[in-house]
Amino acid sequence: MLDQARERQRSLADFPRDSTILTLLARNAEMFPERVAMREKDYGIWHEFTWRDYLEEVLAFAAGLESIGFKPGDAMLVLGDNRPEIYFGMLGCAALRGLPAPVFPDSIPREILHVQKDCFARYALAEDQEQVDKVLDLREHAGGPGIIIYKDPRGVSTYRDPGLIPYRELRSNGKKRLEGESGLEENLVGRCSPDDGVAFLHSSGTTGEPKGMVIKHRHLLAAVRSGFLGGLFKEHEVLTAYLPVAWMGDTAYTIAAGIGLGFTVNIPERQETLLQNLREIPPTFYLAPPRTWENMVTAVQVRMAESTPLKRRLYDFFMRLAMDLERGKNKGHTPGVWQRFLRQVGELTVLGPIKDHLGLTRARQAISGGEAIGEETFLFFRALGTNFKQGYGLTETAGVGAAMEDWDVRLHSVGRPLAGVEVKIDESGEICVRGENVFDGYHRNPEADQKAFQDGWFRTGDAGFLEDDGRLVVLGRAAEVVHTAAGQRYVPNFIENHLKFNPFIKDAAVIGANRPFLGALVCIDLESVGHWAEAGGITYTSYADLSQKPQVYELIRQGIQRVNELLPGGLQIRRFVNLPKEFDPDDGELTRTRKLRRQVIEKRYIDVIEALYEGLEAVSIEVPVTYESGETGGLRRTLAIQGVQ
Amino acid sequence: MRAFSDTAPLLACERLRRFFGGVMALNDLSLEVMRGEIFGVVGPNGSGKTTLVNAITGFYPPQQGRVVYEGKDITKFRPNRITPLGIARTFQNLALFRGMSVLDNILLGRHYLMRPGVLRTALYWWLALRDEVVHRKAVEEIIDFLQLESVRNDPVEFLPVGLQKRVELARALAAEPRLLILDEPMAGMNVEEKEYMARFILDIHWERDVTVLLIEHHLDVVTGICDRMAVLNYGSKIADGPPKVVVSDPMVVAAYTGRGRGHAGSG
Repeated sequence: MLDQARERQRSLADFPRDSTILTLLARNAEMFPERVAMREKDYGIWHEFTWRDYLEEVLAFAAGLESIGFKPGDAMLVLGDNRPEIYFGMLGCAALRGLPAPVFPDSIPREILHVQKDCFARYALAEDQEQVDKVLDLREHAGGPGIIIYKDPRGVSTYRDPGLIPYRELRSNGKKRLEGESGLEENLVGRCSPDDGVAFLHSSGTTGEPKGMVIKHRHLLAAVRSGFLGGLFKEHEVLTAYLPVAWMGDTAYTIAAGIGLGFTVNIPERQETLLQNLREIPPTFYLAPPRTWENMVTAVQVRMAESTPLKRRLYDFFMRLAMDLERGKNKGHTPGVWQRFLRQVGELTVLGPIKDHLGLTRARQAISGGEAIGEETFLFFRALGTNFKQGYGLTETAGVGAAMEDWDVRLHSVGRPLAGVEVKIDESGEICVRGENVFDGYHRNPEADQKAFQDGWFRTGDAGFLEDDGRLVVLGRAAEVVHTAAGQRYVPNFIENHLKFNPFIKDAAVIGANRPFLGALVCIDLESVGHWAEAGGITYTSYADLSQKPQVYELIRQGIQRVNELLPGGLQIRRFVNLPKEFDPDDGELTRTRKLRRQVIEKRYIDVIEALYEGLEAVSIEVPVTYESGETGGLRRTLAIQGVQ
Repeated sequence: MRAFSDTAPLLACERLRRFFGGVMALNDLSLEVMRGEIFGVVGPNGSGKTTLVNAITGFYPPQQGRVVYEGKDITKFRPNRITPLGIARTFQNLALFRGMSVLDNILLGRHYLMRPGVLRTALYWWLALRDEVVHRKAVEEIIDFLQLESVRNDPVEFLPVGLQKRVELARALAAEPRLLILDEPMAGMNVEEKEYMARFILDIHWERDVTVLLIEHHLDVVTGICDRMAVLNYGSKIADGPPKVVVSDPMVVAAYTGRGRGHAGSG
């Protein structure tokens, strides 16, 4: 009896050191078999998987996969959106000591080939026809994978290509095996060790090609322990899985923390229904990269701009009030009674409903990670009354590193290193991390390892510093901290984030290393600028056409001018150009997680940048475009260049 | 009941005539749609395309001629008797129920399959619930098929035209037709929406085993996806056969470049 009581008191995070994600999955299936582990919305209904189902599905996949010849060490490409079957497949593969290698679902053939060359997968798990087509295409170039397991038979069932296996068939074969062979279940659960891989992931590749690495059970479970002890998440959080499976965040939080701490994971019906599905089951733990949060801000701003004058005024008033209060709090001011009262009125009329719209009503933690977030975006979500924080972690550190504590949220910092994670700054100002969560090294890339490790510390490539009371401040990628010709140091990302808070600016690249002043390449936001143009009676045909309208230039110029007022002297943007297309990962200008690839951009738009500094009024350029199919084309355009005060 | 062979046409129109006042909208029009094909009907504005659909589906029955479906004479059947035969249609100018959601609009397509009654509805939990689940499931499969999940609960009138057309198609599919008649499903769409719609039509034909009679204004769409096609002009058929043959027919070329017969007419 006493043992049982003690058992209950112990937290889920106190798992033994020899645990694997599989043994923890089995533990959950035993401790709370009927608890909901996963929900997926399909055909308009939320379907539930309990922890017992979860374990059964994973083991059935593993058993089925093994019977078609899968061997330990084999790799399996994983292509698709978040689906229970994708997770079951990845874990089933890991149970056999294989290596699931998730690929971003929107990857173009060249990127998939890059992953395939790294891991030589003989197997692939594809969600639907679109992804199956990509693998078939890959086969022609890389000779593999020979076996493709597909989830959705629509369109695929008529294919005559060899090696196509429906997921359902594999699973039911596995299930039969499990029923027939006694002891197979325990055997499968216990087969892998903490030193085996859970996923073959890639660094985001802001500078150069993404680098592959194996993330193991022990890295992920150390990360889960650190996150738990650091208050990043509690047991039984509810989260919505919609971020790409190939992103470290999904492996670390949806899979590792999800199983380690018994989360309930909700999977939206489609990417397009995400907002509705978030409202139906609001998550308690909400992790997203800055890009997602920025898009939410833009969506709210656009909706409010279209709203009635009264609503707009209410919104403007209460949002400004709440943001000012938040800014004050950040400086240590306490709001007065009257202000708190007004804030409360705002909560009831404006802020609460917005939170409801964004699915943030239950979020105990709303966390931005993966890149630095802009000050205004940060304040916006704090002002809404969410517990919005920044976290810091890399693929190489299993997604964790530092996070803000509830009682010490500061704008400029990412918080303190989590328990079990050591952080130091080396002589050159680079952030170095050490801990059990840190990966063992890049995949067959000793050269990169040599650069990345020094005396047991992992060099993150980020520049930053530790404050006296232990808070970590991240400045940006070390390679991106640059100086103007006058010697002034600046971080382009920091200025770009200011620009991107403007709903009309989707993306911006700030240029100015060794130049007399700063310039900006701007990508307008088609949705919000389009709405604005329609309201103003400006007709346009395409993105490129809209971007070059004099009125749009004026709109963007005003936005930049406002940002200039916030920037220190010498670091104002003096000239800018609107690009005729958005930055696109298919063109290599962004990573798949939508971070800028500066070198690519600066090389591609070199003519524009030169014209910017030569003081020309316009420049004519050929913009190469890569289509989703991998084909390339070109756009010839004359772009206007404008000055800003 | 169906003394009907696979080699016989699924739908045959025999010498259809339809006047509106002094205007001959359909003039001795005959055509045959075989089971399992996508059959296109094209023609310039006012050539009688929509009148043909209305004649088949009983909205404006022909004054002369016969419509034979699965070997059965259905001429002058009223529309409510046409649907249970397995014929569903969409409308050129959209005929959705405004103020209702996408889901309800599509559910209405199953109207004739439902068996409501006072007793059944009163004893909902025992008698009607199971039925409702069946219908909802069928509709959800169509929503999934046509990728309408994100607008499922939106009122139809706020959707862009391209999506409204897709909802119309969904509603027609909900009736589980064997013959689907699409009246200019791509009118007013941009290139991307047209490609989507063409893809959907091919998928429907392929996966749901539906014969499609596609009425279109644009030649390129029809030649791209149809097995056979017919061209109308001034209410008469001027050519039919496989698209490749038809588009090079001199009369078709003339009709489309405006050098047709000299008299005025409208459909």
